Amino acid sequence: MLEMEEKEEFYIGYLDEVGEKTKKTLKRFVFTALGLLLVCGFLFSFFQNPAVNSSFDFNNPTKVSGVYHESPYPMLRVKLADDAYKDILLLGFGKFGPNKYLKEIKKETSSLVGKGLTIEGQLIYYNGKTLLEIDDSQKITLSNSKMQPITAATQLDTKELEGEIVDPKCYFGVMKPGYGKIHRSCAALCISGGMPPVLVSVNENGMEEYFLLTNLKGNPIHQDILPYIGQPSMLTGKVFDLGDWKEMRIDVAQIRKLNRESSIY
Amino acid sequence: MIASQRKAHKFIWLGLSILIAALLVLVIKDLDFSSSTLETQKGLPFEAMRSENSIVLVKLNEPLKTPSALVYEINANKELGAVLGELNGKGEYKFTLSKNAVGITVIDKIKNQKIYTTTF
Amino acid sequence: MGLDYKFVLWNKHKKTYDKFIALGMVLYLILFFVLTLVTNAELTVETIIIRAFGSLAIIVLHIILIIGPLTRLNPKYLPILYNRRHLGVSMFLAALVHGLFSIINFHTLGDKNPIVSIFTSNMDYGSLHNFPFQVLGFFALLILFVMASTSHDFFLKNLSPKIWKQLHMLVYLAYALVILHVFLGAFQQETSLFTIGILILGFLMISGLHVIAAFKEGKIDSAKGELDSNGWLKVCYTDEIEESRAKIFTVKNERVAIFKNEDKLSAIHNVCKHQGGPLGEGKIVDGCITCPWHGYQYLPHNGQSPPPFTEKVNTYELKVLEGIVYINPDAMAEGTEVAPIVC
Repeated sequence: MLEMEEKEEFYIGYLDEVGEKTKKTLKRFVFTALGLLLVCGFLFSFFQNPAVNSSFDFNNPTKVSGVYHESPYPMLRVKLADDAYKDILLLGFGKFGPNKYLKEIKKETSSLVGKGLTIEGQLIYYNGKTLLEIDDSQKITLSNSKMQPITAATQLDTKELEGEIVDPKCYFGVMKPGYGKIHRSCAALCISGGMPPVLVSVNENGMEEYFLLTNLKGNPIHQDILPYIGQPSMLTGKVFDLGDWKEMRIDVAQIRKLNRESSIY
Repeated sequence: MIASQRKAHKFIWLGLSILIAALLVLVIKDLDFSSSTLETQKGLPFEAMRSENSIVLVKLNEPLKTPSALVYEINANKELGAVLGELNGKGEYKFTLSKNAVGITVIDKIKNQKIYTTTF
Repeated sequence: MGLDYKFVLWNKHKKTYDKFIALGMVLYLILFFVLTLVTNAELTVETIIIRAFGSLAIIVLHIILIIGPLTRLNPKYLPILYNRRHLGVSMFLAALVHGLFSIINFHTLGDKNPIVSIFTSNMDYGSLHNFPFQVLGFFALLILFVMASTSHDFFLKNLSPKIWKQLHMLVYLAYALVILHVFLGAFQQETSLFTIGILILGFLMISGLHVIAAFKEGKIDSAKGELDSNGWLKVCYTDEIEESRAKIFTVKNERVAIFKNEDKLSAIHNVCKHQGGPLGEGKIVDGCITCPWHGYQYLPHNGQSPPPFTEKVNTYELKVLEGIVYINPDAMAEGTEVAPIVC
């Protein structure tokens, strides 16, 4: 008899009444599903790799003054003390390099290199490296004060380094994580848009080292390096000390992809 | 569902089970499970120790959250003394103190803010 | 059973159903945000949004995909099927937030069109390991968009249930794309046994249930019966069919439901005109065969929905000899009147 009654239960969505047995099954399903959903939520959120403490002063611009130079990527050398300075790498808004924002100011003087500039922009900084995003050419002014000339780069050894080519804007603060496969397409757009490619490599002491990549003549590279961005690679080239940054002159065709997952940070 | 749809379901799921399983094996084989271990924090983010009287050892266990970091010594009058050097990212730094130094202070000159001060 | 198409024909159960969908999704997002902010404070908001909505969508997709085979294995789960489309649309919305934030974050403000960039910023199409996983996610989102935007009886009717069902079976392709999207993307960078384990268990559960349900259904379809001298199929004894219920038999590769209504037998095609629900698993309510999926109704003696509705299914001729039921395997035209047979 009981079995007959159970079989009699029939659910029709647009009618209000629901049989007891159906109610029980529904409750069980709903609570199991909600429980599993929350367990999954816990696991997905708890087991995320820790993000680094890089910074992007979004909506909090800073005025920075220094000597403009191109080594070969546009930078501002900011004096901190008598013997100390910081080379701040200049970047543009969005996924663009700084050049289109420097066009106007370049018209005001024969050569911008070695001239003093004051730029209001948003700072990006991480692990001793500082960058500045310029979002409007109106925020750049030439200053008349006498500036110390920039010393030439000194050549160090030829090195073979394993690491990942990243775009410095995202890597040093705008995105977290700003490296690896997920970020690869963004890094490719950034470098295609005129940002300098940077090699991030971890040295024998476990410390990160950064190299601005240029071609064998020391000129900027952008489009040619796009296929190698965002994945572990082996690069060989002469390393130059620019002061705050290092430069590595490479032959793009000689980059070797390692076909492994990115493990920097 | 009509018979053809039932048949389609059967073949789709037999096919998908095999295809996805095979692809997952190939993909998982290449995953690196060791790389994602949580980084253990080694001590405080900033440590400064004076040794042999005139040497100060600064350890940055994690990068500073500032655009620049200059290390100054604090002289006996509790005033800012000479610039000892710069901190650039994670690592260990050694600075030589003058005789009357009583501490060090780390200042970001770009944003003009004090980051750390340690007295010995 | 709507004659006019309203955006949603609300009823009590749909409202309860949607409240639970909203509750689950909101709780998930709150948990994800709070836990991430507490344990991983340096992460940026965009990244948390992308991850929270992406992981939510994929879990809800799992729930959606197990409902179908679960109801085939146990009809008690049918009420969950009743409003599955709202679950589907909610899942699409979560996936859309994930997709839009990813596109804005990674592909806008550059020197290429964002959609072009999805396809061209990683050109390693020849490699499995380096494959441009965002392309997989993009196509999955496109499928989910088409499905969500046709998740309404207006499209079901105008596309025809067959085409509509074929279109919505693309969710299986979307699932495959999503799984690969995650394994070739997020899991390469965030490799954790726990999160990978969730999706492997999910895959085993979904594919396992579908295959088991398919074999169970296959058995019914392949059952062969005896034909008498007139070519009528011998199906069962009259007392094997319960009052107000039906038994399902396969006749010329089509399923037929033989219902008993007030001790009289009627046979109709088993497939509901609405979404193809199994009428033979339904019940006679107020003299009408009622579909177990969404409650569409048909009269037993002519296979027509009671006025003002206009759905019609095929009917079949029956005869009873010495307590044994025989069916004429040739279907009558949809809506043809066939007098019920007294047992």
